[in-house]
Amino acid sequence: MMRYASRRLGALVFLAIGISIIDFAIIRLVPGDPARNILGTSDATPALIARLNSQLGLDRPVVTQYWIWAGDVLRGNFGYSYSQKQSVSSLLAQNIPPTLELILAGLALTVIFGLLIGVAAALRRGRATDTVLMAASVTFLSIPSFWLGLLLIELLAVRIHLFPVVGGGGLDGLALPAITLALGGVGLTARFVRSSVIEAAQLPHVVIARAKGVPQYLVLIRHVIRNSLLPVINIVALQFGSLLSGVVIIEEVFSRNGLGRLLVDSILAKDYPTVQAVVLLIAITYCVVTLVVDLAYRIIDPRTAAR
Amino acid sequence: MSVTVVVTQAAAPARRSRLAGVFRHKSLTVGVVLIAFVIAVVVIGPFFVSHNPDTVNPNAAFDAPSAAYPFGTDSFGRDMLARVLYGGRYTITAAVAIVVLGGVVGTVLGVIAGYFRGAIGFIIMRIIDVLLAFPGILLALTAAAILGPGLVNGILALALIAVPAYARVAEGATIEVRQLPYIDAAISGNINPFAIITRHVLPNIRDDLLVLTSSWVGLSALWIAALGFIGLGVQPPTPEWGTLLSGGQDYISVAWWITVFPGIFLALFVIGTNLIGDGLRDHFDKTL
Repeated sequence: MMRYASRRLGALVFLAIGISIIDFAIIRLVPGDPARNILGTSDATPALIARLNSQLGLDRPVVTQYWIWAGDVLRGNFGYSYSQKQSVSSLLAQNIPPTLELILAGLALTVIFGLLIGVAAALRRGRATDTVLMAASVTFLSIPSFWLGLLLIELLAVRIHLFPVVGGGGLDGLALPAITLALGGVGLTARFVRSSVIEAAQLPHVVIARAKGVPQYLVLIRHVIRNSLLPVINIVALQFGSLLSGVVIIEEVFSRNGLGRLLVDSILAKDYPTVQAVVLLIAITYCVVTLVVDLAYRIIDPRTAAR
Repeated sequence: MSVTVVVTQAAAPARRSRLAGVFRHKSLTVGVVLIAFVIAVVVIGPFFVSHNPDTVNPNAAFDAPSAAYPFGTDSFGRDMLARVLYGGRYTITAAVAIVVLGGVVGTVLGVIAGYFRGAIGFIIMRIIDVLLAFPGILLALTAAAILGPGLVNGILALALIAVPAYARVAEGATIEVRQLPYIDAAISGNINPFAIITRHVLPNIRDDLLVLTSSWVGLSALWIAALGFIGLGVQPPTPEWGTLLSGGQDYISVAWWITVFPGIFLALFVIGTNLIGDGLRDHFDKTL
């Protein structure tokens, strides 16, 4: 276990370096002069350009530039956002909490409803309930989330005032974006849980328990669901990734502040230091979460190590 | 010492029965019907529509669905039916282009990595790992930040996401196939690797790639529309489905039809591709 963990941690370091190189390259790949790109056309006075050039070491070799940049980033200095007139790190500090809130709410909905629908479909396997639930799941994961978000706002917020139109604070404002964000994940998780439960129900010890007359619900809770929950942990990690990228669109639809909206606005405003910071943050978070889930999985179920 | 080579004549795969069997899967049939419907409507439909999708008519702005305009009109008085039908051509063509581009590059990289392994394979797969570290649409947004918006740039950006997905699957399948005895025999027979790959490896990993492709066409359509929706993909006035949705979002309370119809077509298309993917996965008994 320790050897596996240290190997994975080592791999994470290399992955982080790879991610940072791609992220660093963003501003160098944009056509034109990097300093001028960072400043934007309106702020780009010759004096500022010269100052930024020496600050970023743009007159030095690319490798040196990377070291300067990476050192700054590790110290939490992501540069200055000229389009928002403040440091990128303070922009991040303002936008991380609302995004985290939305992702956690989406994750909770994904797990709860994914499990409920999946188990229900597996129990009614081959019957009408199963067909309906699985058809719903495919629809959930196929529907464009931004379209659904628009329809939900119009129907549930504008027409019948069930939710606030533009997400304010509190649970009310969180409900619609979280539902929209989670829907695709619910469909995917439900399908996964269904096949996982069906598989677990065919294991020998389940058949024996049933044969010796253990009540159906006890077999289900003690043996089937417990066994089928393990692979579900894996899909949660996967879901975390799609939620991380899903918020980009959802925040835009619901005019909610957060990292996703910050990213899109920064891309449109050609505010490259902010783009770099958000991209780096999301990619590194995703890798760390994947690693933590993989390690947790090994601790909960040591059999995976043997495979 | 004499070497006896035993050649077992494998039964020729019964292709016809295999194809017939495909349609026994209900989800596949429904998926094919859906896709056939959407594509037929988008390809043939425009010939039967009297309005031009780009003709602006200020007197007819925000007209509700009627006999003259079955899907209503948008804020410029343009016929939404024509715009949805022409828009489908952009969205679906872009989705196919993304998958072809990303799929070919990814498959080539994956097959090379899986076949030759060693240093080349290691380097290719570590680069793929880094690309996979950017979840979902993030890599495309990064590329869009560099390339700028537009149809072609959107296709390139999204193909970049398909590359690592295809490379992963192709590499895994190639490693498995490479261990088959007859491919081993071909390698020891000193046959040129290119011939082995095209004649033996690719046909063997085709099923995996087919399953992957059916769901990626839908995913690509969703993503090109999402890029168009947030203003980083196809730019208005080009009637791509995502751009149409973006143009309708401010008027949804007064003119729901601008938003509803493009979304229905996009959803039907994506549901269709996912059902086909499910059916093929069942049929080939592949779990991806």
